[in-house]
Amino acid sequence: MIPLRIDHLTKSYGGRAAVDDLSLVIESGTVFGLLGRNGAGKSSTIACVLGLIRKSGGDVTLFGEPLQARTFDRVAYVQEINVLDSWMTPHQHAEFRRRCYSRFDNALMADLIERFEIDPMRTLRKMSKGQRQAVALALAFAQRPELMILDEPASGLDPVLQRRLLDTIVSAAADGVTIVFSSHTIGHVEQAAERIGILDRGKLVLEANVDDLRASRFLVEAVFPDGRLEQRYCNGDVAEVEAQFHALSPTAVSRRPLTLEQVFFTTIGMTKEYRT
Amino acid sequence: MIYRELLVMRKALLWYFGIVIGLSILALIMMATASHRGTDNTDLQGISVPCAWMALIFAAIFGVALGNASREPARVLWVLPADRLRSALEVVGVDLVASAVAYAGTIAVSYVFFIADGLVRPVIHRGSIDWGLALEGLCLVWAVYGWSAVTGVLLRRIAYAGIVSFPFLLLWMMFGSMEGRFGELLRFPIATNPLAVFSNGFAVEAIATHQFVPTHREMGEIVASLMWMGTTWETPLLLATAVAGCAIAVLVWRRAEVLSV
Repeated sequence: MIPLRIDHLTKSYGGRAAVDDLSLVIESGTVFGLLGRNGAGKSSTIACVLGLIRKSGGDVTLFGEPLQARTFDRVAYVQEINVLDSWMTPHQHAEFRRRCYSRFDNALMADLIERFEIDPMRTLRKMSKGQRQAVALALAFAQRPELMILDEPASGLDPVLQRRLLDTIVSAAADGVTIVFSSHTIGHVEQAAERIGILDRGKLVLEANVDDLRASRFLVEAVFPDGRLEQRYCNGDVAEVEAQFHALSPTAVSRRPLTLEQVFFTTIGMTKEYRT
Repeated sequence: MIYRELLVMRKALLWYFGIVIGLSILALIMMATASHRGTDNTDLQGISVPCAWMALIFAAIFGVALGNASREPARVLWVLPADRLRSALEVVGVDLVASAVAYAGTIAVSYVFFIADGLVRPVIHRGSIDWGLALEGLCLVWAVYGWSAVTGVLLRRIAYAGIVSFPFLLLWMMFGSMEGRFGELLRFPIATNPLAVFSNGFAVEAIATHQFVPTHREMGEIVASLMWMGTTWETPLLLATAVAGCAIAVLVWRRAEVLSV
């Protein structure tokens, strides 16, 4: 069963398309990283998928059927803006979720609370932004969902908690949970995701396996006798580019696999931002 | 769903009763320390009227739980494995019960206050609680909750927008007593204004009992426009307003989107 299928999704705000004809299939057990600049349409896509806003067009199916209330028993969602009630304690939040989600795992919640170093009896108001985000993540994982949708999950977390979050994501994926997460921190996506999608101005401009990208995208550099350095980004045509450089009699030609960050910049057409 | 709303209302009721009891103690101290001349009479029959006015402020501020900027639970509630209609009805149900508790509790605190008042100074207590009036007071509280729920859900971007309905209803009554076409237009639907309906009962009773005629002509017109209710229609009308308000709020909330993406 496909956990998430998006067909030609469109969301417009007053004539401006925030999500433009987006189609995507997320296979079971995948960690899918959604990348994009601010306003690229990541959060709007997620909100449409979860029915938090009405889509302007297209179809979304979760586990083979349109979104229904009961679907949420299999889906966990953590949003960028932590909207958990700040006057409640993690213990109360867990109690609330336990009554709502049939598979909520109290033992896992307690374990995650300990792993994220959270006081379960302290109100969220008295916690830092990162701690509140950690509570939201612990609640989501403790739901034992089949699909997790995480919108900027590492927002506000310190480096140690970010590391633990990524480990938790990888561990959940190993248990067969499908995870879709959006992030501005490309390093996180690179570490955790098997597959990525890059959104630019509402359009999905790239969807690929991270390993395939590493194997096919290169930066070819040529140094010429006058000290000039030429760089060219290659997508599969690396041998051809190298041959072109060799024809210009350089002193050296080298190739480097692109980092995900370089792939991102080249994909959204901002190669200048990344030229050395 | 109910668990969270019960926590919300427990917190709200603690605040509310803290304020009510605090004010009562303060009033008792002031009465006890004031110089007395003779014996006061306290009519317990009308105790539910000021209590209803206190409790409706609670209902307008705290009772409205359907998402707005102050308490935007939508992102959490709308991803629960529960139908939005059911979630909304549960929230409204808990709020209505909490409003009733606030009202009943206020009557109880007031009763204790009057007993304590009798212990510290010479007071003659007359009559007992008029349960018909108490029921009408409860319906007033719920009707104001209904209005607040509608206001709150329509003005979701404003924190605690539900309370806006209370001064709005008061202003409606006030401008409804104006001369001219504007006043007439406002008086036309005034049967849906719970404050006007509740006040009307007393005005009609005053006219019947004491041959009292409102000195302000237009205010008299408001009373006259509601005279058809007599003194028996107020309670069902207030209840109908409460039901209609809650129903509209729930329907709007069902179709609403989150405040920001």
